[in-house]
Amino acid sequence: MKRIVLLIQLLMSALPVWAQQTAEQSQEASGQGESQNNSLTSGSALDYLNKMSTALRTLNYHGTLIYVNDGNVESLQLIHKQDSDGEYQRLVHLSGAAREVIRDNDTVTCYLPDSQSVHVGARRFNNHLLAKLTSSFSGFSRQYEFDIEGNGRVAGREATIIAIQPKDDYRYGYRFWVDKESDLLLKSDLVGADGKVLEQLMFVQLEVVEDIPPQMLKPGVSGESFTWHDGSVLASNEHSANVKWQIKRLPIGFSVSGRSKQLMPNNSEPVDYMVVSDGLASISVYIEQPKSNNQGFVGASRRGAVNIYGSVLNKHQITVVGEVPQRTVQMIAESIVYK
Amino acid sequence: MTIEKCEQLSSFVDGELDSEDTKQFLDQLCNDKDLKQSWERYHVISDSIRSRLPDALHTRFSESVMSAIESEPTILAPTPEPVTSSTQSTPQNVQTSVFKRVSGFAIAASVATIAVIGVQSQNQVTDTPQLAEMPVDSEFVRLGEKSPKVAAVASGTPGNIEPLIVKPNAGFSNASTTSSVPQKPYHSVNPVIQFDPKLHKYLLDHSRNVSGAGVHEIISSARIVTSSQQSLDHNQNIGKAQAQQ
Repeated sequence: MKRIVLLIQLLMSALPVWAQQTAEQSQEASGQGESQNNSLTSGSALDYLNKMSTALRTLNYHGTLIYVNDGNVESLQLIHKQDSDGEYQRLVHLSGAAREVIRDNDTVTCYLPDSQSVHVGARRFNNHLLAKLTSSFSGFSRQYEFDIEGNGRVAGREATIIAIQPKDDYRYGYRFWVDKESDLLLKSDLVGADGKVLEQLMFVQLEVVEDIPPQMLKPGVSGESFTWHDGSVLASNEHSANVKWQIKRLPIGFSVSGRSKQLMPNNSEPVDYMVVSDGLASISVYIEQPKSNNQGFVGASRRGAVNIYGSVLNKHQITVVGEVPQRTVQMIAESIVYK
Repeated sequence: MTIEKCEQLSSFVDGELDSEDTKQFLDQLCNDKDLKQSWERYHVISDSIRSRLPDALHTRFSESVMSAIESEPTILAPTPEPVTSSTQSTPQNVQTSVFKRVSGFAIAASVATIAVIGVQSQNQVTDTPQLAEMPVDSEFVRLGEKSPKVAAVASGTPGNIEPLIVKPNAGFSNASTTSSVPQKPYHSVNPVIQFDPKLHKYLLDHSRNVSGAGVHEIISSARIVTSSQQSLDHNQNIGKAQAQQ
């Protein structure tokens, strides 16, 4: 009997089409779907992602995660709270330097004790995917394919696996394990073109609770003696975004979703900033006048799944950063013009 | 080792022996351990005179290549006839064995040449100070992008390389230098082997800015708390180490 079960499991994993059909059938059984076409599967996959996004925002939970990147394994602790005043989240590095990121609604503060610095700024997206997915799913489905891949188990919890596959080489794929009980994210893979997992985040322990005591969200270091860097958008008129910098070539589906001027550490001059996104992947573009003695960066670099490409144009340093393949950041960096 | 042998070796390395002497000398070389070591030293000296030395020398190189050839004779040095019950040296067997060894050396020498070229080219990659600039005008990158076939060959997938080199077998693992041959083009196609610590601030700022984009925000926060100037330096060292392998 065990063998038969094993054989069936093997067949299921070997034939994703089968697995998909079975997934569709099971949804039919639970009354969620009516037809067996592809859009249903992507629609249900989308439902899972929407539910996950809501759960991540609205529940109170804390847990321990591992993060795998370039063969390095790191342990992290996550605490999330939602109350009448808003949403708070704290992520702490558990080994080595106690770096942490605390988000108070849209303000993100990074405490970096090893470099004696604190970086503050507002995030530029708020449930971006959720909004974009629900408003224009057809736009998405031109660049990505959404699928329910099957079931899994993470941190002692049963999960549904959702796969997002890119349709070209300009973006990465994703795989999410969504908790069947709480809808929370249990595990997340960033997948390269060859199917290789580039970056992985996985809960090893997760607890959904009624309330989070405030002290759990307090930073471990005061940061009083640290150097503070404010990366907020400069709002005054003289610092209005310079629209003369244009990106001539963008992979299909990507668009410039924001422009501003902001300050960067070690540069007193404001930096022109652009953010480019296809809804799932986002890319930052920095254009600045380097200090005379500051040697520029030209070429490609990478850390984990994040690729960086630098180029120089009109004595300006252009730096493009994003969790996309090198070709994407390179295309953007090389196609920037000043009009 | 006699002076005569030294002279013979020198002539052999310089390719000044006639075919009969070469045959004779190769037979000696195969059986004489001292002579074999001298042969290696001569090549090192010759390479050093021509400034073709790799960063790390793999001593006992001929030995490891030879043992690899011995353990895998079917692809590159096929036995001309089936092995009979006798293992004693009949004249025919001696001839076969000499042929095998001679061809073995020819292969060993060519593998050595490839290895030296491989290591040299790698050195060029690692030693270039403006490494970061490479992708801009690197033909490899463009080739790799435009033609998937070229990229596949150049990326050194074992399937493409294996027919050229003796199949890995017992003893072959010693000949680790040869494995640098397929790796060389890999680094040219992906010249991303170092992370400039200056880029740390961009990584940090990007991750903070786009937190909340995509499917979930935990990943961008994770990138922030796991990256530091130190860890970047660390990665950079790993990159260098890989390039030198």
